[in-house]
This record gives sequence, structure tokens and C-alpha cells, in this order.
Amino acid sequence: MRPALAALATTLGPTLIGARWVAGPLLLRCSLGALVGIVIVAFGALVGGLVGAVVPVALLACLAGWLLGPRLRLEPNDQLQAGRLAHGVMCFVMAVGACLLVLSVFRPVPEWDGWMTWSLKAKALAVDGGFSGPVFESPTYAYSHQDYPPLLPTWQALAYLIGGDLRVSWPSQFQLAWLWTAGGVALIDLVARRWGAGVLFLLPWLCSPPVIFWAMAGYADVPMALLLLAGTAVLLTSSPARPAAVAGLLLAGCALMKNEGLPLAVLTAGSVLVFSPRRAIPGKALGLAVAGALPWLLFTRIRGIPSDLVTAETLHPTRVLQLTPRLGPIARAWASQLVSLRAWALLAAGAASAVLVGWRPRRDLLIAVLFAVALLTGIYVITPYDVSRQLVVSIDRVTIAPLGLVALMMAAADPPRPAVPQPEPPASRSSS
Amino acid sequence: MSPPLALLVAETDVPFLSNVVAAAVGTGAAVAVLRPPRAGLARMAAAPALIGAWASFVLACAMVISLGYQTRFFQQHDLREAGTAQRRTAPIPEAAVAAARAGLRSGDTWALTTPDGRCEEDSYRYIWLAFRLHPNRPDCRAPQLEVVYGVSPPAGATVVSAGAGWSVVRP
Repeated sequence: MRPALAALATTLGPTLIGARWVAGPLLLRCSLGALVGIVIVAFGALVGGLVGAVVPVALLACLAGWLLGPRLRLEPNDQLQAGRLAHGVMCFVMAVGACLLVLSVFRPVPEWDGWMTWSLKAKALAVDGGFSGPVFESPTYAYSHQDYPPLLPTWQALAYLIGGDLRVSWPSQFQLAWLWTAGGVALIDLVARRWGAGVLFLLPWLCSPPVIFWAMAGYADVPMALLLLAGTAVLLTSSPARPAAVAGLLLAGCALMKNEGLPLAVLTAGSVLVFSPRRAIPGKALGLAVAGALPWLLFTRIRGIPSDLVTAETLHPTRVLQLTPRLGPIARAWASQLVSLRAWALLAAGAASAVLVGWRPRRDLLIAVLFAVALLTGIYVITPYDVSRQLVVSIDRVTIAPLGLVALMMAAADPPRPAVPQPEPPASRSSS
Repeated sequence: MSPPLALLVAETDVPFLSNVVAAAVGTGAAVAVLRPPRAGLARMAAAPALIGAWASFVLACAMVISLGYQTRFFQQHDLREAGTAQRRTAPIPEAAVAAARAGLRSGDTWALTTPDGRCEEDSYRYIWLAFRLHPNRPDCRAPQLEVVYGVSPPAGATVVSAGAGWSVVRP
């Protein structure tokens, strides 16, 4: 009974709080609101972990989220409506999400990083009540990447705390299925409202084998990517009349999900900022994202928790130059993902053919994609581990976020101009 | 060579018929959802998006079915807390994990010995067991309890519990 309560309290609770941050139709409020609420509650637990009071600070964050929501609410443009196509796609995504939610009740944490890093830290936080325990500080647990941002574990820790049994892990699977469903519906609604039929380009990403598989594997890659895309979509659809808080919160959530989350959020919001005619909104959102990531960054620096990837030694110019031959295998690994049906062949082929028939991708997101690919390639170049082995075990999920940006870039692309003038569609379309 | 819709390198094979079911359900959903929208787009221009969306519906259905089979595998092997990372056998029998838990008191430390070596030398089983036995910490120099899998327990150790191929001992 308590695990069920844990699963529902850590999903429905944040959804109710987050729904106060979003105006508009109920579906948009609940889906986008779920992402916002999860970030608020998990961030509260993270700050609580830093001061050794997970539950009290998480409850305070809930209260603050509840009270602040109406003041910082995102007001979607009422004149733009998600059409019949979008509603059909959302119904399909909710049906898939319902299946995943049902399956989650019978699933353990199925994959390697789930028990090595994310859920182990969630257990530790639930037991220790803070980040001062051995899992975060002892060399015995150095394998768990102690410096990684812990937003996913802090959210999962709440489920362990409410569930009251460290041996019951299915609520964390329920949380991830909820996040995939809510994130998918929110993205479709936001994109369809602004770019109409462009929403179809999101499907080869959202329904791709890597996204669905890794969403249900207990990893942070899909949550990070969903928050990145949702934050970016909110940024692209915002106006000066709508506060940047929601976009900033979502990007802060992205920054606290994984080590590459912060640079991805900064690069993406930065690209939008550079090309945007209204720079105040992306500027504020960018500031919020960085500010949100600071507490954990400061904690790791103060406690001297080392990073295994980014160190003075791995970044030494001489070493990096010597490692440039790694670019060959890394490029081959990227290419293998783009041609595999199990990965991104559908998205890559769809995007390439769309460009060939005249779709024009957004410049800001194209830049963001290129930055993201460069960033992740750079990480593979400098890794102190065997790069071939690391590519084998990670390339299919490391590509999730940049390919998500590709999907959003195509969804927001300008369609080909018809040879014969046609009546304007109900949803206005424009690009940067 | 695995069939093209065998999307998981998974714990268990997915029957070919399930791919047919995924294709049928996904196509049905696509027909229902993707009827030509009056969005002002020429059919030719919308074709890449429509074809991609149809195939996505099929892939999503195939993934749900694959995850269903994976979940059934976990249930059949009584894996309710941690899975097997796409391997077809559990790292350590559940009975051994239960025996280790029963033998560990609060604050006790543990170690693991397998045919691959001691503790980190068999990182797959060691890290899996560290998750299962948390909050008891591993300490491979002076453990209070040792989980021995696939090899004989060390001479002189007190066997607390044992099963087929495993034993839990106090050094």
C-alpha cells in the first residue's frame, strides 16, 4: 500500500503544484505542470539534502511552489489552439504512457546505471537524510560518479521515503513512466499550438526505441532531454508578457539531471538568446538555469568531490591533441546511430527528406544541435576511459538529447512555400 | 542476426508475431490519427513527417511489447528490486541476497567472492549487490559477512546460509 502511495504522491503531487504554474487547457496545465512540479519538488529535496533536511525542505518547496505558481504563471497564447491532429497524437502518447505506467508496477530498476548511480543515490539520500553519507563521499562508492547532479535521485528518494522500504523500487519506474508521458504530451501540445503539423517531426524522437527504452531503464538521459526540450519549447513560444520562470525552471531541471545538462541548457538557451529579437526572456531563463545548478556545483567544489571526466589532467591541451585520433571512432559511432532503425534512422531520414522537399530548420536550434554534438564529442575525446568501450555502452543514450533538439528544430521549421497560394492554417507559423 | 524490430538487446526473445501485432496496432493508430490535416501543407511537403509519424507509432507499439516481455522476464525470475542489465541470468540468486540481508546487522560490512575475483574484480555482481544490500557497506578488507558465489567458501569461515552454488559466511 505504501509503495503505491509513494508512486502517486511523487507524481500526482508535483503535477498539482506545477499545474498552478501553467494557464490554459487542462491537458497542457497537467502535462507541462507535471514537469515543472517535479523540478520544484526534486529541487527542494536536493537543497534539503545539502542541509541535511530532505523532507522539511521538500515540503517547503511544495508550499513555495504552490504559492508562487499563480504569480509566475505561463500564459499560453489563447489564439493558438492544438488541433485535431495534435489531440490524436496526444491520445496515442497517453495510451503508450498508460501501458508504461501499468508495466512499471511490475518492474525493478532494470539497467546498470540505475543501480550503480541513480537509484543507489536515492536509497542513500533516503537513509542518510543528506549528501554526507558514504555513497556521496566515500572512495568505496567512487564508481557511482559522486559528482553527478542528483535531481533524479532526490525525486526518487522521496518515493523510497514515503514507500518506507528500500527493497521496493517499482515506484521509481512509475515516476519515470509518468515523466515520459507528461513530457511527451506537454511537448506535443506546445509545439502543435505554435507550429501545427510540425508536431509530427517530434514523434520519431519521442516514440523512438532509445527514448522509450532508456526512459524505462532508470537512467537520467530521457528526463534530462525532456526537460531540455520542454524548456526550449516554452522559450520559443514565449513573449514579453509571459514570465521566463517556467522555462528557467525546466532548464534548471535539465542542468541538474546530468553533468552535460548544464552545458546543454546553456548552449541551447544561449543559441535561442542570440537569435531572438526579445532577449530578456531567454536571458532570464538562462540565468535561472545557471542559478539552479549552482548549489550542487558549489557543494561538490567545497566538499572536494572529484569529477572523473572533467579534470585539469583530462583537459590538458597536450593530452587532448594526442587524443584527436579518437575522432574517427566517435564519428563512426554517431553515424551508426543515425542509420540504425533501433536508434535514429527514422528521425534522420525524416529530417533529411524534409529539408530536401523544402522545410527550413530554425537557425537557433540548428546552432544548438551543432554545439550539443560538439560538446558530447569533446567529452568522448577527453574521457580517461577506453573510448571504444564507452561508446559501445553509452552512444545510444548520449545521442538522445541532441537528436531531441533535431526533432524540435524540424518541428519548428518553416514548411515549404506552396506553388499555389493556400489559405492560412489556423495555427500561425513562423521561425526565428 | 536479430529481426529488425527486435528493438531490445533484451533478457528474453520477443516472438515474431508480436512484431506483426505492433505493426497492425501502430498502423491502425496512425490511420486514425494521421488523416490528412487541413494545415495548408501540400501532401508532398508533409510526406516525410507523415511517414515518420506512422513508423513511429509502429515502433512505439513494438517497444511497449518488448518492455512487456522484459517485465515478464523479471517477474519470472522474481527480480523486483534490480534487473539484469540485458543479461539472461540474475547476477546472484535471490535466495543468496535474502540470506545476506538476514545475516547483516545494522552497520555490518560485507564482501563478495565469485569465480571472477573478489569485490570490484567482478564489478557487475559487486555493484548490483551493493545496490541490493544498501545501507550495509562493502568492505573488502575486513567484512563482517561474505557472500560467496560460484566458488567454495574459504576454509575456516562459518557458513551462515548456503544454497546451490552460493554461501553466506562469516570470516
